[in-house]
Amino acid sequence: MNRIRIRRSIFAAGGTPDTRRIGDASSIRVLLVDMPRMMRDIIAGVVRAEPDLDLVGEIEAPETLLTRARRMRPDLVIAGATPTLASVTRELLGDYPRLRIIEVEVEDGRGSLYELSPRRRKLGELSPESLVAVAREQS
Amino acid sequence: MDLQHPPAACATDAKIRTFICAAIRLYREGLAQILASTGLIEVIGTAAAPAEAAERLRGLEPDILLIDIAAGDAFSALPRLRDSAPEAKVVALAVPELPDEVLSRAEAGIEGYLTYDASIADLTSALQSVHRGELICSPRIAGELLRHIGRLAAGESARAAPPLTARQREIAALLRDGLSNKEIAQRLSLSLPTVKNHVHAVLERLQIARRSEVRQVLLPY
Repeated sequence: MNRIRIRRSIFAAGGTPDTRRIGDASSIRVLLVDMPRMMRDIIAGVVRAEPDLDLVGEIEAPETLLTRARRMRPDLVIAGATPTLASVTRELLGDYPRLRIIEVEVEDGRGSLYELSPRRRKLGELSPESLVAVAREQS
Repeated sequence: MDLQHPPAACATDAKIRTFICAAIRLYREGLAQILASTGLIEVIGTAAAPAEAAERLRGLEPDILLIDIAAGDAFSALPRLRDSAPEAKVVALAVPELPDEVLSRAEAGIEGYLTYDASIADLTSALQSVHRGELICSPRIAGELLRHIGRLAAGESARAAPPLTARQREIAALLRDGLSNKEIAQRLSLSLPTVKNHVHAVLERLQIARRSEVRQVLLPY
């Protein structure tokens, strides 16, 4: 509980002031960015099925991530692997150092999860279970 | 009887028994969960690789095999999977491809073709359509398939009736009957050089080297 409150205060301090009253302080706000539609639908389904995860939005263009993130105030961004994401990540983490950015990559029949912090660190295999576990990890 | 649900609808109430073969765990497990949650589809099994799928499919008799052909040997294993589930219809999931690649995949025999740009709603709808006996692919792919069929049909008719002029058809028919140039000239009241020219043109049009081959390529008119 404390962790979330602390995170929100830091998040708000980095950008737009967060004056909103948080209804469920224990939920983790998740934003999905730029991935194939079917993958996005599956991940959205996985997130919606978990009571402590809150899907706050889905956006297609990583270029709009900076402006959309200010409005949607996610705790966690789950994004497809694109060159644009890499450049936006540095700026986004500059504004919101406690924000977590998870990259999903599908290549040669393998799916992988990476954390961008902003250095790219492999977290493991991409699956519904691993996504939920990663979302719940403390930053 | 509930008038909102006439008897005709009851026949379609059975869930579509679907088997999923996908290398990527998110797709394999995620699709199983999300398709089952629609209430329209029963996922009766999953496998990561074609060999595993062929083993697990024994006795399952799915209505539909949903196969990720984006990677590995899944596409080349299609005939083997069909043997394991001969009554099942095949719906392929793939990365966006060039039309020529899609055509080669279509020729391998699949009833449905979707890319990962499709939504879950698209996929659910496609599974229902394929289950009803329809073929499903994107309008762009459908257009390419129709053009391909058109080209195939044109090829077939070219073999059946080569594009010869009326005079060339007369000459070709006489060649088929084994007449010499001199005999053809007499029959058609033409000069020998003219007949030679016509014969040369006929052989060229039919893409054959010898007059004796006319019999093999020319169907009776």
